[in-house]
Amino acid sequence: MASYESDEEQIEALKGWWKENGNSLLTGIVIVLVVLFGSRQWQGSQLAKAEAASDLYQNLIPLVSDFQTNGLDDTGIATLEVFYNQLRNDHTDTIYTRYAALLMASVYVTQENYDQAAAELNWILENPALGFMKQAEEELFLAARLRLARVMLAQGQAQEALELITAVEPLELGAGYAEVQGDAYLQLGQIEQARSAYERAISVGPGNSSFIELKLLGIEG
Amino acid sequence: MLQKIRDNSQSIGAKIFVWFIVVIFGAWGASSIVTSVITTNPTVTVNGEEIDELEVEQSAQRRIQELITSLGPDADLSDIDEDLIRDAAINELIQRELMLQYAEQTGMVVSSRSIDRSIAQTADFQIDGVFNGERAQILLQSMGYTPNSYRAALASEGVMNQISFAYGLSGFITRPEMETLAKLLNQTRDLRYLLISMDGLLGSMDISDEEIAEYYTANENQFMLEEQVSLDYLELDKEAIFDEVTVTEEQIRQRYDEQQVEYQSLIERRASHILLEAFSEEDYAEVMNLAEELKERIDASESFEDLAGEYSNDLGSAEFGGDVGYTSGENFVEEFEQALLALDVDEVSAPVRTEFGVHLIKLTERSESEIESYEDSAESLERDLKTAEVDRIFLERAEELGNLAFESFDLADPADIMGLEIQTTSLFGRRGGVGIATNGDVINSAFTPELLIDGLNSDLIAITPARSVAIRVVDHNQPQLQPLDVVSGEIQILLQFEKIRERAVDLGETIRDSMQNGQNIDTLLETQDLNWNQLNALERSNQLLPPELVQNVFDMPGPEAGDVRVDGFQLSTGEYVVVELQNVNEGSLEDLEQEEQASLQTFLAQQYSNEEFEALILGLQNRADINR
Repeated sequence: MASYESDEEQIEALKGWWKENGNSLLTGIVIVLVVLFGSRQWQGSQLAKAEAASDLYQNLIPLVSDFQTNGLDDTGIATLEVFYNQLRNDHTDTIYTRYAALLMASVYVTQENYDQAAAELNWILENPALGFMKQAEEELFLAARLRLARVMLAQGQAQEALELITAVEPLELGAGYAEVQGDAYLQLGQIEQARSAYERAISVGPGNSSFIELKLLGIEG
Repeated sequence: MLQKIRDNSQSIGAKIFVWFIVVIFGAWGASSIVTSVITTNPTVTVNGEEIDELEVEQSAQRRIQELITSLGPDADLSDIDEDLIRDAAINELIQRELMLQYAEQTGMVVSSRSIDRSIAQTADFQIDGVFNGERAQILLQSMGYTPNSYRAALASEGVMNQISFAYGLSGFITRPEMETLAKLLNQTRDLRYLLISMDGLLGSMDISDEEIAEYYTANENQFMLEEQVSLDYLELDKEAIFDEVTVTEEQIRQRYDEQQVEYQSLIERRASHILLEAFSEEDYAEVMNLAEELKERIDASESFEDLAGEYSNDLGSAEFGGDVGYTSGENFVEEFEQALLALDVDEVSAPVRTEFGVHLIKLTERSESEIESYEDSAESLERDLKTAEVDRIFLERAEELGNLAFESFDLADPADIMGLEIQTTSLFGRRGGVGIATNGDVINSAFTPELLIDGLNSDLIAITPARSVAIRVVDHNQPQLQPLDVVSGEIQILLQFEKIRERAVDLGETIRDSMQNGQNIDTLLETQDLNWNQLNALERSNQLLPPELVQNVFDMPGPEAGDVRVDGFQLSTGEYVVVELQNVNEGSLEDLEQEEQASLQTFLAQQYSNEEFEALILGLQNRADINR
């Protein structure tokens, strides 16, 4: 630092510096504070929204669990639907709404209401545009697609199911996809294709290999 | 003036600095600074996030503990591969980290409301069913959590549960899928089969010497005799010493008396007294008279307590009727204690002279304690005395034998000196033999170089707390090939068995081929004394037939319509089975009870959802950047 002749000169130098830079310094600090405050506020409200979705989903879990073991009466189902609709309407773009759709689809399958089950699974597949979680949800979409194909088979739509699951690369779900392809071919009466699909499912593994082998034997017998 | 501005400017600088700190901490949290200072060795990273070495260590230790518990107390700890366990712990933590990152990317959170609720509902944090903050804090501290770190842990666990429920709970199986599988699972089959057993084929099955010799040379390693030793040993046995020791009646009586003295000292007596002080011989004469007078009045049933209040010079006790409390024999002067010992409860002594004056003493209480008679306790006293003596002798001799065995080249001298007999074991290998050769320490010791090669005596080995031995190897057989004539019988049986198996297969295949070619086999069956077994509606789950047979039957393709299908299999027992499959009967879901249907449904739904959940984990793993 340069040395000054006297106290007065030092004071003058300081004052000069402050005149030149003081305002911009203050402005800078204020801007930083505003941005920080604002972003925290925004994060806070985002967090509150996420927490609300999380709680709604959390409410579904014991109800569905109860349904799977004991079945539910109409009011039970209605309660489920209230929570689910709230998620669909107020928290459309969260992962929780998709998880809830999976749960609802399973409830409808158990009730043999395949049309409604297919509708929920379809909704998952048709609403993928969530940007920030695109990569992360790939597995979720693959699972939902496979489930939809199985529901379609239950509806007797083997050809559509086949098209659905042959349209994508199944990644780690190769065995499951091949097994359901086999089921679809079998339903279409294409025995040879079914056999080779089942064989592929076993070789890709691990999957439900003992049941797939059973199905293969079923073709032979 | 200048100083003032300096102070000011410093404080402005200081303020700015403080603001800077506040902003940094506020925006990113103290952790951003603190963690950059305190870092452990980052060994494993998942997408750039470290896995804490401490956590790996803790998890590995927990797994090891669980393993030890599950293996039981006899576990050989050297079998536990710590590296393998560490790997498993790391894998689990990686999976956890991946799931947490996935949860974060997909915007999952657990609300503080639900964390509050689960804390409040944790039974361990409750007293009488009500949440207790203090208790919670103490428990958390003992587990190494701060309230914040515990909340964070709950939040992590919460999102992971949310993910696994999303898959696990939503698994389903459609009705047609169930029906398809039930059709196959509950399928039954009609068939008949021939069992070609080995028994029917025994007979003159000649095996030539050449065949035996050939097998012997080709399979020498099957006929090796393991390395074996036999031992000489000297044994010390407490049981034997018992017979040597006698205990005289005198010793027992003495022990009994000693015990009585010990008992006496355990009895507490409570005393009251009237003290008449005396400082000279004249005093003594005077108060003695008074004492005798008082004693008479007491005997004439005046109250001891009242007289104490009136006459006793021990003012402290006088107002409590003379009570001076308890003694077990040493609280008062000798004369006092002696007099007290002689009294029954509520009895009052004659006047007793002590250094303080003359006392009248009353025993007011005695703690009761059962005193066994000599006759009752003699037997157990004798046993105790004997045991103590035997223990002493055993220890003494054990030390002597240990020393002698160490100093001597063989066991002859120690045996002579100690009057023990040298015993021997039969030959045994490293897996042990009979008698003392079943003991692990004996076996291990026998195969040490000191005993095996140098021919030394062993240290004293405790087989049980009451038996010890010193051993020495006398015979040592190297592993060796057993001579042909010893094993030829064994080989003959082996080769006969082999031939019978071949014959069973030959016969079975002949029958199978003939049937497949549509030839009549009735005469063949008759000459071989074989009969068909008919089975209708054989189930997959049949437990009565050999599982191999059931498996093979269900692996056969069904017959063409109006025809049968024939096949044959050798079972692992050597028997051969020819199967004629007649019918495949489809099963149906209705064959199952309602309950069975439900559990099958749950099981299948889980199979499918597990597959999807595993695919998720695998996918996260495959796309992650994991350094380890």
